[in-house]
Amino acid sequence: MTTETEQRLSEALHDIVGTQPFEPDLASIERRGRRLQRRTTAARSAVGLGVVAVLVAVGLGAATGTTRPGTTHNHQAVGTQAPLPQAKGPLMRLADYIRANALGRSATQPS
Amino acid sequence: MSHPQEEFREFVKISAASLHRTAYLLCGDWHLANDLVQEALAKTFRNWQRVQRADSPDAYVRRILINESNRYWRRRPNRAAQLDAAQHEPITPDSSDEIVDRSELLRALLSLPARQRATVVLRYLEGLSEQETAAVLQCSEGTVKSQSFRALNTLKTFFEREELPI
Repeated sequence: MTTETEQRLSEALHDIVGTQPFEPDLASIERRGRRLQRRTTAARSAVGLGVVAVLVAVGLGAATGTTRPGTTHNHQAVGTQAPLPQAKGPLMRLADYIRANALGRSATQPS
Repeated sequence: MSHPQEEFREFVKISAASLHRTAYLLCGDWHLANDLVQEALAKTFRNWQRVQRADSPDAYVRRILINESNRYWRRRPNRAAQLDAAQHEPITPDSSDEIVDRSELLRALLSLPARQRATVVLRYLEGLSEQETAAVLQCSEGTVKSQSFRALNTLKTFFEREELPI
């Protein structure tokens, strides 16, 4: 229900604004809109790159086994670690081949 | 010209005058109202696809405009202080008493807290329902009722004191 005050207020507000002409500058609106759009895209890209950089840094940290200071892990001491089996290089494989062949020949050759 | 751009231009053509009126009653300055509407429409252009998907594109754009107005007042507290000082200046009678009364009412309106002012403008200038006003201001209908009640109470004293001729 509209009270008398509401009615008078509504009429008075319409009276205040009257019929003020307004012609929006469409070219300027669209130019500004595009600039805002580019700025938003740039900001989002920067945030995306930042997130990727953080993820890469975390991934690298995990791969190299580095720990942050203050964290405790039950790593074995360096000296007590068992030596890792190492892949043989090409020279070592050649030496093995020659040794095996030489032994095999000497075993089959008549004395 | 692309299809969405045409639709945007059509939307501007239809709603610009109404947005301009709203902006004026939110800030009390026609030049500032021009700037606020231009900026609000630029932001509408940037988010045009989202605006079109909204339940009420008109409410969405009015919300942008009201946010722009609030942002302006937050950024320029000096302007608010100037306005406050102007409210206490004696009004020189003009050639027409009506002009003085309009100016008085505008000052009374601008002295209202931002949310009450926005509620009054949407309800009594644009003729939105409580539900539509709540959608624009993103609040409950109860809040719209209470804000309207408080604003009317403040402005009622103005009407009783001035006996504003309509």
